[in-house]
Amino acid sequence: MSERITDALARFRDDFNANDRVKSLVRNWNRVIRFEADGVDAVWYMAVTDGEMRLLDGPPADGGDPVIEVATHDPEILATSFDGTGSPARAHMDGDLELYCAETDRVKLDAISLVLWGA
Amino acid sequence: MAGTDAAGSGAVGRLGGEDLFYVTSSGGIALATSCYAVLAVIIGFGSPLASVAGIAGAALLCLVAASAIGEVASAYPSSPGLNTYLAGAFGPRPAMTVFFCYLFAIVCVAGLEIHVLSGIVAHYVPAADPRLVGLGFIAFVTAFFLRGMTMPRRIQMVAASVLITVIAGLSALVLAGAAGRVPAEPAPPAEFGAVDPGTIGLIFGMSVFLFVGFEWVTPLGRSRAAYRGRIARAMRIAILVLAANYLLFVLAFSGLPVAADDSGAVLPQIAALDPIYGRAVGPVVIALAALATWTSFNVALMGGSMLLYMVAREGTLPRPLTRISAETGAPLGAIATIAGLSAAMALVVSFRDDAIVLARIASIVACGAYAALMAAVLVLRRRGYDNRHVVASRVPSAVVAAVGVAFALLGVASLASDFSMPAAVLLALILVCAFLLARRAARRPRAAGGAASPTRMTEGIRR
Repeated sequence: MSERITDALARFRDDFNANDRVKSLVRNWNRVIRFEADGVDAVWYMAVTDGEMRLLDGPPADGGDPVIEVATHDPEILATSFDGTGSPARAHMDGDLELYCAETDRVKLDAISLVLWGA
Repeated sequence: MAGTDAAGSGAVGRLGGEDLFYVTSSGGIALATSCYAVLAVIIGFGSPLASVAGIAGAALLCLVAASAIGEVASAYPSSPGLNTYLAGAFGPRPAMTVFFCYLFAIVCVAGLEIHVLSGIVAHYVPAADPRLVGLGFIAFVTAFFLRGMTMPRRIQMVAASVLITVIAGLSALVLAGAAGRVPAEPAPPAEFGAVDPGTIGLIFGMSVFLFVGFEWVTPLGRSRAAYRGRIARAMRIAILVLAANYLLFVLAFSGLPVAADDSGAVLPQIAALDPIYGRAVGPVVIALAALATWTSFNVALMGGSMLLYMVAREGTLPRPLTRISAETGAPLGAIATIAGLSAAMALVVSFRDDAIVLARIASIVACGAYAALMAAVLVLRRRGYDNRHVVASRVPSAVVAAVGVAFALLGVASLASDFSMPAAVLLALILVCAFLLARRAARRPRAAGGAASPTRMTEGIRR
């Protein structure tokens, strides 16, 4: 499952970086996103900096950009939410995908998924 | 990963800065200026004993509800709250119906809030047109939110703390000074508890209004750990602090010879302050009222807009509701809609003399929503929370059921006692609108992973 999630996040990153409309959405929006799923002994970090998304090898240094935490009790939901086959917004509304961030960051993430996958 | 923890098993820990944020968020939304208009009505029934009993009883029910809601929140951490909890228990359509009722209740409260605030300003500044003041205030707040700005958490904490402290201090001063400076007109002991039996239900039901919104803190958790008891504890602390504040206020102002003002346009307690402290206290009162309205709007208006946006973006509600700012992430369409409805409501009640009916509507809807939440807790407990990890509260199911029934009865009593036709008509209108909107919103046209119309939806993102 860990590899599946890594692949999903890599696809998310590729889709993100290839989409000009998404880049316009994240102008001046620099964030670190931390992903975790119950039952999976791994944590992932991604950084959005100056419109580019990249996967990090480990946690960033303290005191940097605001951190958004994404978590779930079901690893499958984490994978499907970011490989484009599931709806992250629906998963969040159903209480399956947890988001710990500012309210406006939630809308920003939602807009990104809407532009990328329409869901 | 599924499992059950006992609440308060030591994981909650001592109170810290983060807990203060949860307490002030929970209390900040409930502590609105219109609460004091409602307290004026409760005091106006003429029985301090019934007022105290009503407030204490409502606080007790809300305390139990807070524990139960904290439990269900731990199963759905960071989710949008009421809508998710009810959908988990009863499915999307009943959940949406309650959600839209609650949203309309928020609009009623916001309308009343603006109306009361503008009445207070007009009391101290007679040249000011109350309608212009009210519309100006909501226009300013809406512009603030549309710019993607919200009150920073630290300021929210300070503002709510200052409000509670200053109002408690003011009540204490009145209580201490009332005997010496105000013509004492204490009710005879035999009449101390006397009140028309028909209004008992209304007093208890309207007392629930004083705590409405305490549960809106549940989507605001900063981490998973917050849902392991901390948010539930914060809600209970907020309810206790509010109850103490309201009780002190009732005790202080019940001793003053003031009549209830059913219009809620001007708080009668404020008029009673004039002969004691003079009109120089005006700027302080206006600042307090504006701060209370602002902190309340900061959570309610923004939170309500966020929820409305999230429901609308499913593609079943009108497209303008999905409009967001690409730059700030602010849900422009939803904010403008709720603010516009609130302003319209404030404008409508400004031409009537029964603005307080809006508080009554909000109480009835809140009682119904809390009853539904208690039922949801019972259903989810029986189903084992669908194998989610949950921090169980210590409240037995029988008590949860009893509190749910009590809320339902209070809702009915609030409507039936001292029957008000405008309240009944407005409530019926809200129910019909909520039902129709829920039927439309619950269609869920987009299956997971399938985009019904991405182009249509992304058109709502404004650069």
